[in-house]
Amino acid sequence: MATESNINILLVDDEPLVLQSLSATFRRQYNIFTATNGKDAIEIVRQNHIHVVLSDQRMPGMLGHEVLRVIKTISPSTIRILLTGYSDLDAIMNSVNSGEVFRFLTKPWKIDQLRDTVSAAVEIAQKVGQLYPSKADIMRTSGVEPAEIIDQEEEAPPPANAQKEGLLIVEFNKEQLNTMVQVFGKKYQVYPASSISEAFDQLSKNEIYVMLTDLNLNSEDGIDFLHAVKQEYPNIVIILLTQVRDALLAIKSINEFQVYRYHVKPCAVEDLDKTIQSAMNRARTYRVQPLKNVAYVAKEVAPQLVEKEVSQKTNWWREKLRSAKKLFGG
Amino acid sequence: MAKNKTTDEQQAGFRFAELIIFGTIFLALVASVFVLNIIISRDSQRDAEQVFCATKQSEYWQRAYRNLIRIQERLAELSIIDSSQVEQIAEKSTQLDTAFFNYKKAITIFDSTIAALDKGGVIMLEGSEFEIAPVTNPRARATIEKEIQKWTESRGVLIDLAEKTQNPKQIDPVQLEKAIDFAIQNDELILASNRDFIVRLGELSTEKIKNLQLAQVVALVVSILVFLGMAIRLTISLRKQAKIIQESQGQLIQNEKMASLGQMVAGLAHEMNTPLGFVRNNIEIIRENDREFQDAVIASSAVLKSLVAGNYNEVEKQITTTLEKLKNIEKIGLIDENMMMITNSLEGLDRMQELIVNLRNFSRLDQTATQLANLNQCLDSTLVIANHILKRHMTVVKDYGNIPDIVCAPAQLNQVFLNIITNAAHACEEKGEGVLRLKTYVEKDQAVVQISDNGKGIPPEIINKIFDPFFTTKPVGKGTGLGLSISKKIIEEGHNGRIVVKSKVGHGTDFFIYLPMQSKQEKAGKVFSESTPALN
Repeated sequence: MATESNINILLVDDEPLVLQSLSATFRRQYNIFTATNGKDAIEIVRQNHIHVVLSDQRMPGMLGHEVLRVIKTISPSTIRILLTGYSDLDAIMNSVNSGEVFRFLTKPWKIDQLRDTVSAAVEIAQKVGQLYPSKADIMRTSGVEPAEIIDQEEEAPPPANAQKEGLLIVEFNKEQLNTMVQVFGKKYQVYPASSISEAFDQLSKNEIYVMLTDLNLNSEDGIDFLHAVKQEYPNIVIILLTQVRDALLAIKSINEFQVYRYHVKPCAVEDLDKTIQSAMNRARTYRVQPLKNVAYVAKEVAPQLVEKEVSQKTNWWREKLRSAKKLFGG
Repeated sequence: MAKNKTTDEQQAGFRFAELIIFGTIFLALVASVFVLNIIISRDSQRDAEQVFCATKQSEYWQRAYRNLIRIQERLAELSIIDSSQVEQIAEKSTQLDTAFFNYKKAITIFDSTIAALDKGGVIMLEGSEFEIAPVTNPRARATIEKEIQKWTESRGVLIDLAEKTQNPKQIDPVQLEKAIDFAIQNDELILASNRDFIVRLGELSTEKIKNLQLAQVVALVVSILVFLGMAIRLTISLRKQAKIIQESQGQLIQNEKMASLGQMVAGLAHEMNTPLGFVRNNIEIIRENDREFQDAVIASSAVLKSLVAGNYNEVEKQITTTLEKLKNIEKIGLIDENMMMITNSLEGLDRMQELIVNLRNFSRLDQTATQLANLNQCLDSTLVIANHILKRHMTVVKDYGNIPDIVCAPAQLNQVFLNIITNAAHACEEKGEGVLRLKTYVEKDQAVVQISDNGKGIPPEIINKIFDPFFTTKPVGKGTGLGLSISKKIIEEGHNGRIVVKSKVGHGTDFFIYLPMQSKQEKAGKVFSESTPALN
């Protein structure tokens, strides 16, 4: 079915009937590529310029998030969407921590939501694609095995100046907060906050690169606050510390706040340190090249998708943040 | 759960304390009997010494008394004998000396025995020392009190007589008279007192022995009681413990059941999600396409109406747009697409129906526990439920033989199959891919289900433990360690069958499940046993 569209999307699922159904959904707007397993999908990404990939999580051979991780290294501009049941939290945790999925969609999906998400992803892909025109080509021609480049992180710009970067730690347990301030205070400019309003103060007064937060996502305030932060400061990289493994919250935290990492307490200080380090790198990258920040681009090109998720309370927080910004000249 | 644990620990602590208390009482009783024995035997020794002392006292008193009389006699004799009879005088003098010497010795010893019995002390007898304890028992003392008193009053006379006299021939006759008076007057008393004293001591020691016997009997009885109490308490607490263990085991078996139910539900949910997802999507697409069909139909009917009404002015324009719509439908292939979407949706619905049928087959919730069932079908149902575990890395090879239906509890057998198949899938996880082979065949009068994988295998040192309850190689919280032990129970106790495992590390594991088939004939009411002996 030839279409005039120059947008290529890749659908990956081991179930042919799902592929047919998804093809029928998108074939009028985009060029459709399909693959029934991870290997084929990766090959297709090598051979073609794919804007958006939509992959099932549970497949024979490579799992969805593994496929997406490889695709990310081959073609960083490809926006990755994972289709999954609620049942695999481990998989979800893995993808948060390495695949950097743009959105999770849960099965069974709604066609409108699917279309909205994909079209937003396409717009972002087009925008982000300007950053990496050549890289994908190089990858395509060089024929490097994906296994060798899986964990290769993009190089981050060096620290901007001698000044320490700002790390906001939101932790309601004062004792733990003090411990963390002590541990991380040597490396970063730490701004402690033991409540949302304190965090809000710190955000408006200081320049924050990374936010490490123990927000209770089950509480309305926690979610709204995170929303507001992500809206107003898309360049702040958020690391979530949580007490419970909860698949729904993990999905929500990625879909709605682009949480960079999701740590389940208790976690080792070294792990947390590593995470903060790489989050700092990312934050620097975002500052230099905002187009690499998918959340930022999403806000620019597909505000309708982002705005939909925002509640009234979030808007209230945003207003507060905005007025504070003005007040402090931020 | 944590709360239960602490109360358990507390109970165990109480039980421990109780055991210690019982043990201490028991030991204290035994020890007290020993101590009593030792005290009493010491008492007896002391009594024996006192008796010895009293006996010697009587003996020496008599000796002293005799010698005193002899002294008087010799003195009298000497005074009668003529001084010329030198020989006789010498003989009598010697006898007097001997008597006096004997008297002196006897009265000294007698004095020391009296003192010893009164206040305690050492007596010298025939060159040996004897330490005598004072008589403290009032009843014993009463018998010798008078003797002691009399002796103390007149002791001076008799002792002085012995000690102050240098030459027995010049003995003071007044003193001697006094001494003899005392001796004559008190001889009876002293001997009687001594006798009484010895008798009293004997009585006392009999009493003591009686008391000791009583105490020993009491201690024995009490210790038996304590021992019984301890035994009863222990039995009760052991019973309680056993009951608790049994209950918690029951709880764990229930947990295992719930876990396999959870596994089933998770598998089902995952399997349902896929067809549900695309059927829903297909129907939305069909609805969208349907709008275009409707548009085309409305446009076409408008053309027809215009033609029928002879409204030719409009018709040309209407035909163009209608044709465009129809062309568009043709170009995008909407008719084919709709057909495909409908066909696919029907297939998806069939699949869901199949899932539900399999679920019912798997659990047989709506059927009696024991029934005629086909093992191949059971395996197929189980495979559907286990699909989400197998799908990623396992290739399933079915090698079903033509086996007759057997009487069994299919839901239970499915649980066994699911368990072994799940383990097989886990065994191949490290390898990344594996083959699950399901084979059924008939061997003699048994139906055999062989479930094989080519995973990592079971090390020989644990292969004997895999059917033990709570044995698991999975990390804490991942497995109850009950799956295979319950499977064994289901096969061996529920079905009179056998379950056998063979494994080679690095090559894979085979489970053989042997199930008897003759029960079918019993169920059918036909008895073949009479015609079969030849085969045995």
